[in-house]
Amino acid sequence: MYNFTVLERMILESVNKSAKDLEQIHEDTGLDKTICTNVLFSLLAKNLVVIDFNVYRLNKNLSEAILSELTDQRNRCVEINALVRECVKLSLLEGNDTFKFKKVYMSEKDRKLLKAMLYNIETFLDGLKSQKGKTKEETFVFWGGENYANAINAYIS
Amino acid sequence: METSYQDSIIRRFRSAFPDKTLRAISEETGIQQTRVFRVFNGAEMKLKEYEAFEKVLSKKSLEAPRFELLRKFQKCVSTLGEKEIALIELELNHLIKVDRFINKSFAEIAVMSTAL
Repeated sequence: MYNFTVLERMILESVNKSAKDLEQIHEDTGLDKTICTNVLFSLLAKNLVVIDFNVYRLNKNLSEAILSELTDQRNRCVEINALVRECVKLSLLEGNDTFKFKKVYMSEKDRKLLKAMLYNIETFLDGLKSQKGKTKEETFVFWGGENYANAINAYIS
Repeated sequence: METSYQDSIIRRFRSAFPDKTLRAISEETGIQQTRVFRVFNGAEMKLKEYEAFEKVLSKKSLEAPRFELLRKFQKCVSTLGEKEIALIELELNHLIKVDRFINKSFAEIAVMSTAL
């Protein structure tokens, strides 16, 4: 399986917005140029991007096999874990105020109220999708919740 | 060999051995003291020198605290279920790949592209 990392995802998202040369990818992602070059080399080898006169663009004709690798749920799990873990680390270990975690008892009514509020957040964020800016200036937001015992049982099973 | 790769080895070496003197580095790597000085001040590293630094770093990774970590890892592998092991392996693959994107040169990325 192709281990699609957060670095590859970021560069792929960048060239998906518009075809770019190395300088523009560096400027859009904020990643060091050597890293961009190494990642692009890997993406080129996998035929995920194509190069045309020093301009990199997303290969729009990806095979079914590679598409299924890119959307593999276990791989997504590791990718998302990496980002969430960094957010948790920055918050708990570095003192950033970017991650919140609460454990509470909720009545059915509370649960419905929370669901409605989360729905509003999701609608608000979906509305922002049309806004385009630099990839490096994007913010990732995550939310969710699980029954305490369910999570613990899944953890120990 | 790309300069950034050399920088990365020197950075890792300095971080692993912050107090090592040039003489001690020279004895451990087998590289002449004046040459170690020059390499640390930007002279391009030869393949043999790069290998010598990597060898010392790799030896360090098997010292007591790291060895204990490897022992724990081995225990986890023998007790965890297949699903968990597969996820840990995937996590490790990602970490190795990201490290290579950051620290390695094109040639190694080419090899890696087929392996990971």
